[in-house]
Amino acid sequence: MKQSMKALLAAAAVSGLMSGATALASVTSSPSGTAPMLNAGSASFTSSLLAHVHKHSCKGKNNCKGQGGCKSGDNGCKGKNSCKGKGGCATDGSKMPG
Amino acid sequence: MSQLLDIQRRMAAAVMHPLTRAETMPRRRRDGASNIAEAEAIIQPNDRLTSFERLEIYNRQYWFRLYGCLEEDFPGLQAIVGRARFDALMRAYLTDCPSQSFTLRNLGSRLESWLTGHPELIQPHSTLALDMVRLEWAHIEAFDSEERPRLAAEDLAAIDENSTLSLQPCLRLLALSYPVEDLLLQVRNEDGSSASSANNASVARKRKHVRRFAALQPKPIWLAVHRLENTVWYKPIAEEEFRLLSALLAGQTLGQAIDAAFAGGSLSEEARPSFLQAAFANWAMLGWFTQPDPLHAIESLTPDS
Amino acid sequence: MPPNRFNGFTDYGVGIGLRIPHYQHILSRKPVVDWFEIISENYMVDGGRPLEILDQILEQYRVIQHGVSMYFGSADPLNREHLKRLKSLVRRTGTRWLSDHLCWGSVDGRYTHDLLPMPYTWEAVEITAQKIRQVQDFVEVPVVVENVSSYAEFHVSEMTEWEFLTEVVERADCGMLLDVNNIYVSSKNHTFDPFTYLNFVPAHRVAQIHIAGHSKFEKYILDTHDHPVLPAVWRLYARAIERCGPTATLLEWDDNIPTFDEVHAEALKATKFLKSAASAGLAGIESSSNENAVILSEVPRSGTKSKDLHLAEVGATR
Repeated sequence: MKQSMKALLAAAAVSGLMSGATALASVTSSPSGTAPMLNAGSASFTSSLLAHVHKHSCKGKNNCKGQGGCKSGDNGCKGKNSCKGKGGCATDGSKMPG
Repeated sequence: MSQLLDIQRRMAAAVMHPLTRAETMPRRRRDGASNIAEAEAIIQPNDRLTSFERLEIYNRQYWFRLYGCLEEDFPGLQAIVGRARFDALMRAYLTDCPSQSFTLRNLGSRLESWLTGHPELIQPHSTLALDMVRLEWAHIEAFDSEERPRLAAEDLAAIDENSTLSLQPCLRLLALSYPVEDLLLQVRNEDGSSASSANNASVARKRKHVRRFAALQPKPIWLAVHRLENTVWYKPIAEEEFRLLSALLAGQTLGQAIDAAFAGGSLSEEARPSFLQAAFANWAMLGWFTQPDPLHAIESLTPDS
Repeated sequence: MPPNRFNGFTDYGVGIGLRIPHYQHILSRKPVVDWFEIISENYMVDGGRPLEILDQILEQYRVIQHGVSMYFGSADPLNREHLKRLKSLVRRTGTRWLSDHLCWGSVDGRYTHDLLPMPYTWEAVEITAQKIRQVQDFVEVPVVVENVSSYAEFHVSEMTEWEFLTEVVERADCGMLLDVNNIYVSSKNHTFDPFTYLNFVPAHRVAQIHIAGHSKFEKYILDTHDHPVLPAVWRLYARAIERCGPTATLLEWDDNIPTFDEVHAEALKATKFLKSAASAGLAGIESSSNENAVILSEVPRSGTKSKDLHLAEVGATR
C-alpha cells in the first residue's frame, strides 16, 4: 500500500476515533459538559449509546454487512462457588423432609 | 511421603473417578483397582454405611457439583449435542482436564482446546459445537474480565499510523462458521424461564434445540463479544473489522492493522476511508480503546521483551 | 460487649449470605440488615457486574468474606494467585475478619471444589496450623476457620474432630467460625453428642457462628443449605451463645433459595437468643473465666513428636 494512502487511512481512523469520543461525550454529558444527562449504568444510557452506535455505523453505506445490531447475551450474575453439599439418593432411596 | 499427602491423593483418586451410568461409585476403577478395598483401607465404616458408601457420597458430590457448573456455562453446547452426549462429554472432559483453579469460574477454560482433539464427541456437528463453545467461553471471559479507563479525547491528538492502541481486556473477537449467537440467546432465555427443571416439557424443548441446531446452515460470521455497562453483548462485525481489531490486539501499529484489515479483501479503495472512520467511531463510542496498560508499557521497555 | 479479638472487637448481630436472587431486592428496597457474608471466590474477578454489585452493597452494608477453597488442610502449598486475589478483595471490602474451612480439597494442583474431611492426625494439625498462619500473615486480617460437615472418618485419626479443631486454632492462634449446623450434621453421621463438641471448643476464639438447614436421608444427613434451621440446631445455637456470648451470626441458604424476606426472617430468629444472652449479661462467660474451657495439648518433648495427650487449662498453656 502506498505511503500516502496508508496515511490517509490512518487519518480516517483517527478522525473516527475523535468523532466517536465526541459522540460518547454528547450521550453522557449535557452541552456544557458538566451535568450528566443520563446515568451511566441505567438502561436508558445503554440504549441511547447503542442507538448512537447503530445510527453512526450503518448510515448510508453498504459496507456495514452483518451489522444486525448488538444483542445482549447477558444471563445475569454467576455465583458458582459455595459450601453447600450436593447429593442425591443413590444410597438411601428417597429424600426425606428435613 | 507424608501420611496426609498419601491419604489425600488416594481419596482424590476415588472422588474424582467417573461415576457409573447409574451415577454410583464404580466398584472397580478403570485401571482395575478396587474402590471397595481402597475405601476400606482409608475410611471407617459406621453402623449404617460401609466405607465404600461413605466415600461414594463424596464421589457423587464432586461430579454433581461440576456437572452443574458446566451445564450452567455451556447450555448452547448441550442443546447442540443433546443431554446424553453432553453428559458423556462432561465426564470425559473433567476426567482429562480436572480443575486446576481455585474457582469454578474457570472450569470450562480448556473445553474448546480439549474438544478440538476429541471431534468424535461432537460429530456430526463438530464445527457448530466448537463455534458454540467459543462463544460461550468468550461470554464468560467478557462477563468479568477487567475494564480499563477509556481513552480520553485529549489522548487522541498524538495518535498516528505508528501508534499502538490498547483495547479493553474484556473484549473478545470471534470468527465463526455458524451464526450461533441468536440460538444461544434463545437457549439461555428458555433455560432461564424453566428454572432448570428436568420435567417433560424441558426435555422436549431440549430435543427441539437439537433439531433446530441440526438444521442451521453454515454462514461465516465475525463477532465482538464485549461488555457495556456491565452487560455482555454480541456484536456482529465485518471481516475487515475483525482483522483490524485482531491485529491491534496482537500489538501491531495502526498502520499495520489497517494493512491486515484490507489484505486480500474485497472492499474498494475508495470505500476504505469511510469504512475506517465509521468503524473507529463506533468502537470509540463503545469504549473499546483504553489507556495503555502501564505494566505492558514497562514490559515493552525492557531489553528482553 | 465486644465478642473477641478475632472479629476486631465488634458486635455484628445477625447477617445473611449475599446471594444473587436477592440482589435486586436488596439494591432497590435497601432492607435493614446487620451485615452480609459473601463467598470470596465469587468476587475474586477482575471486573464486571459481580464487583459492581459488591461495590453498591458496600456503600450501604458491612460485608464479611467467607472463602470456600483456601483448603488450609491440603498438603499442597498455598496458591499464590489465590492469595493475591484474596488480599485484593479484602482491601476492597474492608472485611474485619476472613473465614474459610478446616478441610482439604485440592491435591497436586487439582481441585475438587468440595470441603473434604481431614484425617485428625498430629501431622495434619501442624500442616494446617502453619498454612493458616501463612494466610493470616499475608492478608493482614484475622483468619477464622470453620468446622465442616463430614460424611466419612479416617482410620488414621488420632483424636476427635473437636480436639483437632482446638489444636489447630490454638497453634495457629486464629479464630473460629463455629457452624452449629455442621456440628449437628456430623454428630448424626458419626454418632457423637454435639454438645460434647460444642462444650469443648475454646469459646474465646469463636468470632462468628453459622446456622443453616440440612437434608435428612435414611442413613445420613447432608449439609444442603436448602431448608430453614431445624429445632435441634437452634438448641445448639442457644448453647453456643450461652458459652460465647453475643456473637456475629450468619444464616446460610444456598439452594432452593426463598425470597429475601423469608431468608432474613429465618436469620432474625437468632436475635432472641442474642438479646437474652445480652440481657443476662453473658458476654462469653466461659471465654473470660476459662472455667470450663480446656484444650488438648501435646506434651512437649524436645526433639520428638509426641502423640501423648493431656488436658490443660487454656489459661495455663497460653
